[in-house]
Amino acid sequence: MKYIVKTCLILIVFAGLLASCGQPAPEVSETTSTTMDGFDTLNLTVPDKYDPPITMESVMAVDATVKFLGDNDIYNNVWTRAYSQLLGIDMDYQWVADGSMFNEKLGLSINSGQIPDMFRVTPAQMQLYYEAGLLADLTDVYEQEASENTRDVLNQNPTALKAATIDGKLIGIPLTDAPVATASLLWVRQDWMDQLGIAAPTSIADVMEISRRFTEEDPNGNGVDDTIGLCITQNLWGAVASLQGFFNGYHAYPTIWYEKEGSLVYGSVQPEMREALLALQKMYAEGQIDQEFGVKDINQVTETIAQGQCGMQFGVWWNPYHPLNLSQQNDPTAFWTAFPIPSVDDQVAKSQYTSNVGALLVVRNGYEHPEALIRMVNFWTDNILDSEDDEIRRIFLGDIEAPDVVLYKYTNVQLWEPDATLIGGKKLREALASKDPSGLDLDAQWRYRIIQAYFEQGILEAWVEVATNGPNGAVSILEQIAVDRGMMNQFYGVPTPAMAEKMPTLQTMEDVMITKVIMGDSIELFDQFVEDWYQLGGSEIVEEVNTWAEKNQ
Amino acid sequence: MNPKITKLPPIWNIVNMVVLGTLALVCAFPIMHIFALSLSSATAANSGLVTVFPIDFTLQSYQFVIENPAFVRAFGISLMRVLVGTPISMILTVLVAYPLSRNRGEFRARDFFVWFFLITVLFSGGMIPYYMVIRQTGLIDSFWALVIPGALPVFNVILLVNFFRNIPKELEEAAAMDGATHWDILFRVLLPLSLPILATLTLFVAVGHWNSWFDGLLLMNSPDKYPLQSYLQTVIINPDPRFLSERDLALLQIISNRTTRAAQIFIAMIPILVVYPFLQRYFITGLKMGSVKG
Repeated sequence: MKYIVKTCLILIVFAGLLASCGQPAPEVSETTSTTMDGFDTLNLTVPDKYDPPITMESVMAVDATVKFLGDNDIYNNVWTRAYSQLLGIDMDYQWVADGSMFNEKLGLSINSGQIPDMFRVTPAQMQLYYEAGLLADLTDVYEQEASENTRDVLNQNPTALKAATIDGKLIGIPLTDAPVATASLLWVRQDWMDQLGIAAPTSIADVMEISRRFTEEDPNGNGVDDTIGLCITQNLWGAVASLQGFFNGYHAYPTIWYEKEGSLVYGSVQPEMREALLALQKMYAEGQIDQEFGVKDINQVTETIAQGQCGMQFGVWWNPYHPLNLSQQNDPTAFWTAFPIPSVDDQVAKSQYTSNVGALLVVRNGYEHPEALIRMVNFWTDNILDSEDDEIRRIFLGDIEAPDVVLYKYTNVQLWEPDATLIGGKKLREALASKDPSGLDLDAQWRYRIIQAYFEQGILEAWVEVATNGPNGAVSILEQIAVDRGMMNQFYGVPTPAMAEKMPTLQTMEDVMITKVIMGDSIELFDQFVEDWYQLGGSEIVEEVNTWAEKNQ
Repeated sequence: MNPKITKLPPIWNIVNMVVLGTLALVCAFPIMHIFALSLSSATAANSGLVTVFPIDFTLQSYQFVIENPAFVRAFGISLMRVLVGTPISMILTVLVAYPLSRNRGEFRARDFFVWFFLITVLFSGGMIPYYMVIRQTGLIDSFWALVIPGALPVFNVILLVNFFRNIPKELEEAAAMDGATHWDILFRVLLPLSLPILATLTLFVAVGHWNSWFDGLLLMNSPDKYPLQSYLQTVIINPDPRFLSERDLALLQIISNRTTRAAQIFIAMIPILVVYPFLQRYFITGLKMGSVKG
C-alpha cells in the first residue's frame, strides 16, 4: 500500500506541474489595445472597414533589430492597432520566428496542416504551395480592390506582377523593392589613390594597375606587406566583396539570364567568362587577392576591410553604411569612392542586377476575406509610402528621435517603391547643388545636413553619406545603371521545374569551378564545366526558360 | 601504477607531454580567444587584432549583454530547463532502468519492454511527425515542450541497466530476505551504490539540456521563449551576402559586433564550466562501470 501511495504522489506532482505551467499566458492585448495612437487626428485614406471585425491568422519573422517602445510587442503595436481600429482586421500571429528560421518553420507549419490565412513566401515556396492547391487566386480581388497607388507601385517594376502570376492567375502580392539596388559598383579606397597619385579607374586595365599598386606599394603605410588589391568572399556573389562586377567589366553576366542572339542564355556558361577568370587567376597568383579567400566569409572580409588591408571591392550602393565604414576605425582619413564598372574594351560595361521579387504575400485558399490583404496593401501605399506627412511617418515608420525602433518591421505588408532611392537621391543632389534643403522631407534633410557637415566642418565620419548620396555618389551611378548601364536578369518568373530541381547543384559546381580556377587550376576546368552544365540539366533549363520567355513577352 | 609505463625511456615521457600538451592547448585556445575577444574593445576585435590576450581591456560588452533583456530571459529559461528537466529525466531513467535490469524470471515481459524502448533509439519519426505530435498534445509553445519530449533518454537507461546488473545479486537477495520490496531494493540498496553513474548521467542530461538549441527554434512560437542556445544561434549567424539588402543593414551591424557575440558565448559556457569539475571525478568510474559487463 505504501508504494502505491508513493507512486501516486509522483504522478500527482507531475500532473500538478503540467497543469500549472502548461497554461497559456493571460492575454494582455485587452488592456493595452486602448493605447491612444491618435489615428483620428491623422489625415489617412482608409479602405472600407470590416464590421464586425474579421480575424486574420498570420505568421511573422523578427530578428535582433526589431525593437519595441514601452509595453508594445509583436502582438500589440501600432500596426496591429491600426489594422484593427481602422480596417477592422484583427491580426492573430500563430507564431513568430527569428528571421533565420522563418522558412523552416513555415514549411513545418504548413506540412503539418497549420496554414496561416496570410503569409510571406519566397517565389519557390509560392510555386510549391500553389501546386498543392493551398493558395487563393487573387486576380479578382486585386482587380476590384487595388487602389491607384497600389497599382502604380506594383507596375513601376514591370516584372513584379508577372513574377507573382502562375497559370494566368495572380497568386501573390510581390513585395517590391528597387531591382537596380542589387547592381554592383566598384568601390576603391580614395585616400589610397590620392596618396599614390592614381587617377580614377576608367578601364579594367586601370583596375588591374590599381590592384597591383595597392598590393605592392604599401598604401596603408605600416611598412608590412599586408594589403590586397581586390577583396572577395567565399560566396563569390552578392552585396559585399563579390565578383559579379568584375565579370561585368568583361561583358560576362554570371548567374543571370540575358538575351543573346535572339534567345535567353545563362551568363555563367558564356565564353566571355573565360578571359575574366584568367585575369582573376593572374591577380591571385600575384597576391592581389587574399590567398585564403576560399574560406573567408563576409564577417572575415569585413575584418580585412576594418584592418585597412583591402583596397578595392565590388559591392552595392549601401556598402559605406556597412562594412566600409569600419575602415575608419583604424584610419580616420579612410574613405571609399564608388565608380561605375569599368570596361575591358571600348564598349560600356553594364552592371548586372536582378529584378527577381524576393518575397510575396499570399492568402490561404478558402480564407473568407482574400480582399483583406489588398486593403492592407492599399493602406500602406495610400498613406505610408511616399508620405510627406511627418506625423504619419513618425507614427507608422519610426521617430527620428529613436532611430533604432523601426516601426514598419511589425507588419508583413511593406512594399517599397522601386524608384524611391533614385528619386530621393536625385532630389538630395539637387538640393546640395542649389544649397536649398527646403523641399526635402525630414529624412533627406537629415542626410543633407550630414553631407554639409563633411564639406563645411570637415567631419570625417560623414564620408559615408557623401559616398552614397553626395554629388557623384553611388546613388548617382545607380541612376546611370537604371538608364543604360545595366543588364537586368531577364528571367523573373517562378523557378521552372528543372531549375528547382537542378539549379542548386549546378550553382555549387559553378562556384567550385570558379574558386579552383582563380586559385590556379587550369582554365580547361571552365570548358569542362560548360560541357557538364549543359549535360547535367542545363540544356533542359535553357529550354524551359525560353518557353517561359515566349509566353511572357 | 603500471610498472611498464615507468620503464619506458624518458624521451617518451617528453613526447607524450608535448603531444598531449599541444592537444590540450588546441582545445583551450578557442575558449581563450573568445574570452579575450569579449574583454577587448570593439575596434580591436573588429580589426582581428585579438588572439589570446584582450586588447584595450573593457567590460563594456558584458555590461551590454547583462542589460540585454533578451539574453537574460533566455538564460533564465535555460536555467529553468536544466533545473526542472534534469530531475524529471533522472527519475524516469531510474524507474525504467530498474525493471529492465531484472532477469526474465522476475519480469516476464522484460524483452518486450527492452525492445519497446530500444526501437526509439534505432528509429525516429522525423521532424514533421515530431512537430505534429508536440502540437496535437498541446505542448507547443510551452516550456514543457523543451522538457517532456526528451525526458527519457534511452541511452542513459541502458547505461544504468548495465550498472545495476553489475551490482552483486547477493545484496538484493539479502535485502529481500529481510523483507525488502522492490521499492526498498531500488532506493535503499541499488541507488546508494550507483552514485557514480547517477552523477555521470545527471551531467549528461544537464549538459544536454543546456546545449540543445534546435527544439527551441522549432517548438517555440516566439523568440522571447527561446532558451539560451536557440537565442545564441540567432545572434551568431553568418549572413549569406547573396540575400542581403539595404534593409538588413541594422542586422549586419549587430552581427558584426564581435565583442558582444563573444561575451554572450562566454557567459553561456560558464554554468557548465562551473559544474563540470565537481561531477567530473565520478565521470570515468561511472562510464566504465556501466559499460563493462561481467
